[in-house]
Amino acid sequence: MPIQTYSDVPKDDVGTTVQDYVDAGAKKVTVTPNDDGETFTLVVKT
Amino acid sequence: MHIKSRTIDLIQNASVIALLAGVCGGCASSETQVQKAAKDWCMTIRGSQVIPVYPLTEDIQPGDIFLVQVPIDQQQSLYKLNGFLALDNHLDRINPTGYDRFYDHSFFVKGAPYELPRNWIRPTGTNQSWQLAPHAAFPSYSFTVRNGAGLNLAVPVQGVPVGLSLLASDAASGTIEIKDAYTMGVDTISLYQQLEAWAKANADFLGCFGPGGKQTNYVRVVTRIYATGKMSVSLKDASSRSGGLDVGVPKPVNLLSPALPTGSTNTAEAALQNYTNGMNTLSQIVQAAGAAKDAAGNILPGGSLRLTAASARSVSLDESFTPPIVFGYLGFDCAIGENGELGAPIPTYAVLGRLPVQGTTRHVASDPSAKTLREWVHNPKPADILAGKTARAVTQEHERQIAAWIQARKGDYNFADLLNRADLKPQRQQFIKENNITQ
Repeated sequence: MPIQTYSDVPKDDVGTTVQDYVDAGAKKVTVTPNDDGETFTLVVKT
Repeated sequence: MHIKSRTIDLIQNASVIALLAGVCGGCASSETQVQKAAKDWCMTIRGSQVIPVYPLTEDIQPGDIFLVQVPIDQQQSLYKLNGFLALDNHLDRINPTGYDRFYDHSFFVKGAPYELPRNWIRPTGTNQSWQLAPHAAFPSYSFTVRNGAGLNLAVPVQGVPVGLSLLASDAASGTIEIKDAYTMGVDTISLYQQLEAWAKANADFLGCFGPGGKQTNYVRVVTRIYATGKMSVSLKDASSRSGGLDVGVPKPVNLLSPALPTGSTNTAEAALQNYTNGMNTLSQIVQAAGAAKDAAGNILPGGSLRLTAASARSVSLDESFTPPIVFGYLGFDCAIGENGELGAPIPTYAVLGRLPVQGTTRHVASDPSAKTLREWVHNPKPADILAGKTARAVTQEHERQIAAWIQARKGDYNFADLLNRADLKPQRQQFIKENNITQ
């Protein structure tokens, strides 16, 4: 179960990016807002 | 004479006022002081990359599951504010099955049946609690304390307040050393697999805590604990006094330097005898302080104190915990999704400390090529959407186009990586150039 963490996803782009991983076959994508309120961290389980 | 009496009167009045202020202040802010003690202690433990347990307890083990209902950003704020996270919502305790594989080639004796954590925490037929577990070591921590805010010190061990009262000091610097430390843990993968099975069995319960609005709830699972059997506290008087006046009772450590008997012919022997008597008296004071009893006469929980060294301006104490108690843990968090489904495990320390997970973190690209390519895939231009096709169909076509391009170059990444990974910028620019993609 490879797990990959992607940091600093821009706020206005997070939906698009999550869709990328779902389309690429990710089993689960966890989205967590960062402290700056502008970026997110994604944890992708494939 | 009159002036001297007046001076003493002033000092006594000032002492009474200070004492009253201290007592009243202590009453009004006892909650704040306890919180400060908790935070300072936890900051000390956090320095060792371990998440502190507060209050110290024996009853926390790998496999313990807690519900965390505070959003991660607020968790961080609370963690910074209080120094620890309350483990108050104990959902369940998984009995990890991975101990055998984890320890059978190291700490388990071959052929001997082991049942953890019992065989390490409370070995049958012995009182050698934790002796079989792997040892751990921690650095010593320095701190300074002041008596002004009452005697609530920054560590939940009796040695510090007792030492400070022995010094009768209003300020001291010292060190605390965590000795006889042990650890016990299990691997995340086996525990996560058990957690997934547990989550399926309890999906109805977890479903109640699925995401709602902006709130995400988490389960926190303990994978490793740290216990200590002894803490050593050394305190050095850091107060500065002006000479001339001594008011109040003499401080106890003055017992170590009493005046020599007049007319004694053997000064060395008298000095040794005085020191021994003083040390014995101090030890009795310390033991009495360590044997705190409640109203019913029961000895209160905690460690036992032993005086190990003392001088007029310093004191060292050992506090033993029998059996050892847990002071820190490591673990992972999983977000609770719809229908009680669990997300990927994220190390708790990484969540709280905002530390990237080494070796697995990649930055999502925000350069123009990434924006252009993501836009091209997800928001195709009207000109690209030919008659009879939907926007989604065009998106899928573009994804396949990228995947084929990667495959032709034998890339070890997928189309989502090409869209998002910062390190694939050259390949992304190449694809955009070859396919004449414009924003």
